[in-house]
Amino acid sequence: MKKTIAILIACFFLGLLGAVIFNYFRPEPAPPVQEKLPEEEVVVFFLNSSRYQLQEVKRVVPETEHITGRIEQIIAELKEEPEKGNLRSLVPSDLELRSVFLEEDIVYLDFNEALIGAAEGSSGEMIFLYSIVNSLIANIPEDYKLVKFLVNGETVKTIGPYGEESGHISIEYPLGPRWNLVGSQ
Amino acid sequence: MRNIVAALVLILFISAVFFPCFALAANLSLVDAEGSFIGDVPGLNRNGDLLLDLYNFFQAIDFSVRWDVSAKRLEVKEKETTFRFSPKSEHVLAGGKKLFLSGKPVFESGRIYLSPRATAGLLNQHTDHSVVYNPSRRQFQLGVATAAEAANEDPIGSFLEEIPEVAEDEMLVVVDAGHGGRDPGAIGPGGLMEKEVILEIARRLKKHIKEKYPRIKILLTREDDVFIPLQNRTRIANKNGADVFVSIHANSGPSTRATGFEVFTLSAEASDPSARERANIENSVLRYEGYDSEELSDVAWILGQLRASVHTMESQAFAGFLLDKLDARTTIKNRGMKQAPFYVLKDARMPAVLFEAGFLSNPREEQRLRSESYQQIVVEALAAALEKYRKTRFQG
Repeated sequence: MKKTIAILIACFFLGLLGAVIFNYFRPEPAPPVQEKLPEEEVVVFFLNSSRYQLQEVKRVVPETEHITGRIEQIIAELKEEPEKGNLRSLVPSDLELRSVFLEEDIVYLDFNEALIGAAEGSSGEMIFLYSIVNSLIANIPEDYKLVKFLVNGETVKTIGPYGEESGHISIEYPLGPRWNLVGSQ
Repeated sequence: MRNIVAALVLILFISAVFFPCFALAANLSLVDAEGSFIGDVPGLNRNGDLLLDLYNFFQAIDFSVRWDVSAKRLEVKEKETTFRFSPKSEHVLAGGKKLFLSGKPVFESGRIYLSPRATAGLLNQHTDHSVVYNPSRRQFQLGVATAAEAANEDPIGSFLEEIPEVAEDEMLVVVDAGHGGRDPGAIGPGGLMEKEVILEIARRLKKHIKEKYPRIKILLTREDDVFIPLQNRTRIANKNGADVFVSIHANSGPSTRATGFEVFTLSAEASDPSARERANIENSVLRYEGYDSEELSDVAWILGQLRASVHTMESQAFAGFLLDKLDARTTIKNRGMKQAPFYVLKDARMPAVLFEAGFLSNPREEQRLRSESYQQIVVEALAAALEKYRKTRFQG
């Protein structure tokens, strides 16, 4: 009987020893590789101040499956001053995109009050509004063709700084892109 | 020696007395709608930018003003609206709503300062006040045109007596001087206001046409510094059966180098997405004519489309005449003809253009627009283009 117990204890310790040795020599699991998030190239339009027209700039943004996410990325990119000296961002840094929603073929952009007075003059308003419209339409599926601007959820007539009757370009209705405002590089 | 000490003491004394006067040089003046001086408001010169002492400013324009010591904020109140400014916040609270300020307030020596432009924007957008800030004169004009606007509640009615009779081969043009009253339009770096220079051009044009072109009858949407809502401008033209509508403006853009004149017509690309935009616009015209949206029959819609396309062609023809006539009279850059969804043009039931006479945002061009000689060139080109249009359309 004593012999049997001694064999069992010996087996137990042998097993324990085996487990320890196995663990000791087991290859270390490889550290998790920090996977780089996939990125995508987008095009945004800035003012070429010497030619007074829009000019295309390529930017790299994280990949996103959501159209609204892509739109938010584009607006953020439009605020970033381009590196090239004669190019200028037209979107003021305090312009906040409150929300984005899609309906039929229209992208609705709901901005804060900073949209009012963000640009002035016929040409100033045109180049500002279409820098946004062109930049969005160029980077989202072709199903979306128009961009509707809202201020705090409401339609305004124009972005005139002295009230909505003081501007020039009507933003009561959605705007389509204007590629003729874009110059060659 | 004693004399030298006395001289030094005197210099110190004079400096002490006059130094605060130099500091006060940052004052802004307040004037009423007629331009009469009301008073000065202290300002702060911060890196070359002039900022306005909000406490004194709101007190000067009869708001009740209170500095809340415990909450460290400035409360200004008028009627039911209370605005609360905090030293570090870029927002102002009004009736529980956060309003955005177009400039960051500065807190210094226990006072809150804000840029005059941001202050004017706040008043114009969120109160019944209408103010215009002129940076070159460092001047706030208060209550601009409110009295004139009240008298002009029915802008169409005010013109009824002077509608000229128009014979068969004569043409009625409605000339719209852009902006006015509480809306100064663009303001040049030298302080020239779009509403002023454009009104001057419109008045000169009326005089010139009356003298030189008897077959053109002209009506101005405004003859004074008054604010007229955009829709009322074309309504004046529609009600009077005008043959052409010309809205005159001075341009502005984000670059001070932008230069030149250009003519815009209402955009009407039939083949791209803005066709729907155009259709909406046409529907609004039909509604204006008394059709309900439900009553919009296919026929009415088609008629509207046809009329719009005819007007588009006619507008472009007139725009071409105007560009040619001006190009022949000046060396200034011709930026050509462009299309865009202009609010002021969208309800016009006749050929309509928006003419930009030059860039106020460009200092050199501001000088030109201010000069009588350039204004005269613009007037002659406009009149000659109108006469050419009349001849081609009304004399076969």
